[in-house]
Amino acid sequence: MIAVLTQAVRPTARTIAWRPVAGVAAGLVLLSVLLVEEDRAQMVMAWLGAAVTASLLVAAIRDRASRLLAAVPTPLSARRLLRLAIVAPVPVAVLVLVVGLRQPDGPLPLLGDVTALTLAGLGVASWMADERGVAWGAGLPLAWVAGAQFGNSSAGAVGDALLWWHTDSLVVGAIAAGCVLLGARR
Amino acid sequence: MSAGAALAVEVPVQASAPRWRVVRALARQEARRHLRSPMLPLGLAGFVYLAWVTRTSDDWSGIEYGGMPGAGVTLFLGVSLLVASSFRRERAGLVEDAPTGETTRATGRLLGAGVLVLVVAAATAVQVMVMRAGGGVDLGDEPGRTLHAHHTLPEVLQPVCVALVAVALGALLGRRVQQRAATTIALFAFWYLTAGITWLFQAAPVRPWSIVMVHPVEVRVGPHSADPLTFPEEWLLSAPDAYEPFWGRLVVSPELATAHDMWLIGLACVLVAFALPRRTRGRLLVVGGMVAAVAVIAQYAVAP
Repeated sequence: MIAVLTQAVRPTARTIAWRPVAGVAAGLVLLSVLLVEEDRAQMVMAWLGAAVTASLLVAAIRDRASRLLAAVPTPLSARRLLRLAIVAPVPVAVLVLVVGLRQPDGPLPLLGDVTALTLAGLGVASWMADERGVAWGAGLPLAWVAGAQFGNSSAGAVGDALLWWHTDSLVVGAIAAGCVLLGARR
Repeated sequence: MSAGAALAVEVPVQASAPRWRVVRALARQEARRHLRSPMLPLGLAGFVYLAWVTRTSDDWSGIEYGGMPGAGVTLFLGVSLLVASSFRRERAGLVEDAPTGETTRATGRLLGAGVLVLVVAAATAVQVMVMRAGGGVDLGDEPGRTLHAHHTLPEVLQPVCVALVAVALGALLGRRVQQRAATTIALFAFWYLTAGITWLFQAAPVRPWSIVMVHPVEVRVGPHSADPLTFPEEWLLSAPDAYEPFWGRLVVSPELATAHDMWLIGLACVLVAFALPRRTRGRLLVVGGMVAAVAVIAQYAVAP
């Protein structure tokens, strides 16, 4: 399996849409430069960066040739993992460098947020049909962070749940990882 | 007769039909699609929720007045996504065989998106009427405070102009960006920042370029230690706080709001121009660019 995936790295990398990755990276750099003097904007940058990076990573597992490749013995989950491993380093590194290092608590909480949101999106994607699942999975991080931003004044369980990806990223990540594993074994 | 021969007969009939009839038919079809999409009720639900939050919140004086245009953030995002989805169909290979030109189709799509602008206008009208029915809203801090503030007409029109930008941006990204995910992420980031976090763009140098302008504008009139009773009693005042540690005067400027609305209209024209075929975009680009440029200069000129 590893040998097959190693051979597949170059052709897979060529099929990945790199423009959105470059766009997100450039957008984060530009925003961080524009808002470098604005301390209040650091939380906004962290939440926005976490949402778009997680959404980008989930969207990256979409493979236009997935129906064609369904017949090959390499499982869908392995091919998705490979795509994720190829794409992830660039946007995550940019996020950590331009946003994470400026956070009061350092980049680790931000990485936790991105991981939780990404795994949640992947969990959705792994339990739904290919194209639709990826679309809903990629939309989840955006919707969740937007809900937290604009709905965090809600009292009680709803307000808390909107912030779980941030306040309980480990728990969310663990549950979502379980969903991904179970979904991959369906 | 074979299917191919039937098509060969039908195409000239369609092509010779008056252009406006084709545009109208396309617009009707697009409008119907938009109204049936779940994106619209979702955007409206977000709008109602945010309008309710700003109405019931007592975080600071003037939150309802200043939060009026920003409450439409989910609606603007929904409009952009719907229009992007509409213009994205222009990228399907089949359109090359369509009996109408791209400009005609784009005109139909834009007219169809007009129904979304009408929805935003109606939602804003209801929001403003609710505020007026309550006798106005709270604005300013003692001793310069009123409980009966009303938005001026240019301010009320701002969400409608922002909706035009939402349509134009959706058209541009839907038509020119290949990946749906990239379009969605870009639209989310754009509206999150410009309409969701409105305070990011309210500093004097960048305010004329903002998408959602928050009124009233605050002008510094005295230090933290100033006695507010020495200011003219007709002034609306903003008390010092953690972020703005000075006394400010709250100024509602209809002139500034009008110039900002013009900037939004000009910007929408420029964005739409880039969604159109190259040979037809020139006039719209020039007119939109000029309106936007004049409006930005006017905003700097009339800013309090």
